[in-house]
Amino acid sequence: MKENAASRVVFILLLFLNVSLLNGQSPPEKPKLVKCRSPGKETFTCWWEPGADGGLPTNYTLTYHKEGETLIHECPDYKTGGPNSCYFSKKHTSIWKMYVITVNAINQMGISSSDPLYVDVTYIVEPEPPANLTLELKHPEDRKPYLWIKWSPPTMTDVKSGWFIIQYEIRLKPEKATDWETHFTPKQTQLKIFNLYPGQKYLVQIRCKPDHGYWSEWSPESSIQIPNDFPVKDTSMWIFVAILSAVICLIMVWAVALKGYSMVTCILPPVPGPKIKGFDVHLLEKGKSEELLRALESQDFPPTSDCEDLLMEFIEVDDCEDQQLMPRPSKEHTEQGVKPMHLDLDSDSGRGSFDSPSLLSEKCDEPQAHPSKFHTPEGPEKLENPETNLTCLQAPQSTSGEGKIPYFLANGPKSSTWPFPQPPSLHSPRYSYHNIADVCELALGMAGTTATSLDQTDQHALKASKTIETGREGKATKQRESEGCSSKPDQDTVWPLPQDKTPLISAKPLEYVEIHKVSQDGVLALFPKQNEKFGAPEASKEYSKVSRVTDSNILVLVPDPQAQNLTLLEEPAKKAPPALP
Amino acid sequence: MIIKRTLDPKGSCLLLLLVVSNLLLCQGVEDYAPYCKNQPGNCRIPLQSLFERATLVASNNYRLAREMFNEFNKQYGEGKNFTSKVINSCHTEFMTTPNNKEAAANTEDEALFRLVISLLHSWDEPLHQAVTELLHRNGASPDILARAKEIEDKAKVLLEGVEMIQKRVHPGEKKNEPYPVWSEKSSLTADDEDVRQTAFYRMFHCLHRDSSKISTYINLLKCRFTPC
Repeated sequence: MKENAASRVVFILLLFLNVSLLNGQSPPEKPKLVKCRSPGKETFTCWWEPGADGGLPTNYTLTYHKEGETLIHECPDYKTGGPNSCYFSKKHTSIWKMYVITVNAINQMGISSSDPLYVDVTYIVEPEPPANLTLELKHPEDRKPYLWIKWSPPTMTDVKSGWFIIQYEIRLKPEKATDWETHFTPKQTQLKIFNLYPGQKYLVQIRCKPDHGYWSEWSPESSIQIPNDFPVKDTSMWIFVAILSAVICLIMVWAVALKGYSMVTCILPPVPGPKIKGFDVHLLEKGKSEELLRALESQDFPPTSDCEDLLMEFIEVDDCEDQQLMPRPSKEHTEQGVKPMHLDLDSDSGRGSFDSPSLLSEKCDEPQAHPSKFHTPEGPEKLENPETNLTCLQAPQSTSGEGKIPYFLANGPKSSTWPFPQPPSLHSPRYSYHNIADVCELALGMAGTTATSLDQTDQHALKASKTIETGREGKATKQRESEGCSSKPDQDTVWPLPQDKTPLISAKPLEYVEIHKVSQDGVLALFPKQNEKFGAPEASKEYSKVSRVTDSNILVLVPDPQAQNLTLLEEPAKKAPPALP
Repeated sequence: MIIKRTLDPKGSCLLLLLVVSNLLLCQGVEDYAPYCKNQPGNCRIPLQSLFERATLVASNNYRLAREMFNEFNKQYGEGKNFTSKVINSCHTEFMTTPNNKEAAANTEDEALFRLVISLLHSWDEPLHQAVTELLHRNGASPDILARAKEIEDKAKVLLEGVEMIQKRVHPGEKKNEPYPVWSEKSSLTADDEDVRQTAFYRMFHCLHRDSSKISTYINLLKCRFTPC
């Protein structure tokens, strides 16, 4: 029976549980203590958060016990602090003692207890905001005007007995500004604000805090309007600034006086004197001029003789070896007296131009002795072709046994010269010969000189040669008169030729022609020179017609069937410039 | 021997700075009456001034103790329920001290003075031991050590001041009040870290509370003798 009863009880309990579960009921969830606060270290209140009630009406109880006591008390007041709160009055409040507080949730299904909360009232103080905030504008005489803010301590705080130690914070701002101006005041209940902007409306707020605890809320805003005629000036600050700057000036003057020179050199460093590089000033001081000069000299002073090379062009005089039908690359020095053998070079005409072949008859040593005789004055002797700018010169020739070398001068920038024939009696065996007449012919023929000009120049040249010639044979003179440009084929003649260096000399002996005449058409009539005679030219074949021009500047002349016989002429190859300008 | 007299630019700058700072300071500082300066004979600092200094020092000590406790709790107190362990275990627990405003209002001045002085005496030794132990420990926080040192120094200053005030206010025979002795040195210097940490936590907790008491009692006394 008893077993039956026990089992029945168990069965009923299980049924009851099942029923409750089916209904969704359960014991309450654990509540949670949220916070406890004391407004003045005399009372305090605790609030809690209930959990789920489990579907059943739940009661909450708060129990506590003090530090050092074992007796458990229940909350004396559940109402004063609002719902879910417990208010501890003065009677039940002890400071410097730990409270162990627990909240219990009870419903039909069970009891749930919160975690215990350890509370020391000293540390949970949060006062009310200060009260009775008043604002007042004051205009005392002889002093600056100010805003006088007054307030009183918050309720429930006993500051007077010293039990509650409090601190205040005031903040104010113009109505439209964004940033607050804050002032912190320990204990006192008034504050004076200076330097306000006239015409503005100011907002003021205040809050407080215990020596250890939480700040109160800000009090409600109080506002005050500053009138427009509110004076703001303050002169004491300027007096202070003036005194400070005077002191600073005095100190600076003192510092400068003490260390004036070094400061000046620091700010304005002395300008360094000029210095000659590598020059030892001490030499000057010692007065040893010799050493000084030596020092100067050691640095490439005076300049070396390299400069001279740049200024002058040296002329190379060569020994009859080189043929000259073209300008030589040697330097020419016109200033140093015209040597018989000089090459006239145009400054700007290269070797390639036919214009300026300098038909150089080279000079040997002898003619140097008579530079004056052989010197051909430029002016009257030059035959100038106005078109081709050619010049024929007649070189005066001496009939002495010396080797006469026709020499010539360049008349202008572009000129070619024809050497004048020399008397055959010259005994210098090493003259080379030029076939200068051919060049003349070529030049004149190609350029198309007028006969008249040539005639004139010819005659002029003849005349000039007469004047210059000294002691020449009449024959030579005559010959010149008639021939103008002529050359002698003989080996004995004095025409110097670079026999050695003529690459294109033909196998045939060179034949020379002489200009017989110039016809009215401007055609040169040439006669081959076949004998040495300087006499009247033989009226032999006359070549005056150009058959063709072969390469390397060989002009082939044929006798003019109309007038004379023509002779094939071969000119010695020369290095004459191939082209006429 | 010729001595060269040179003035560094540093020296002149320093001098300038000194003069300027002096001027600035002179502007802002209130005008204190020259108490006991160049005055022969009896020189008495006003009581209000004495009390003000005492409350300042006590308040500062209280702040230091609070900060020290908070820092220690943050460093070592995470997760460990020290509070339950240290409850009701301060060495000054057995001193009968007023624990609310009415009780304090009913306590006489002399009693309050005695309480303050006893409390200050009783903390002499523990603070000294704590500083010594923190110095020897490698892992001690330098902030905690600095604060402990300062509290130790300032507690002595406060004691002197309170005794001076007591002499002024209650000139009479001196009684050497007994004070509670602290005896947890072994726990403080224990090798076991848990034991040691609990000991330090207890010390900082108790110091925090007792500093608050001292500050409040002195303020109470101040408001009794001077207007608050």
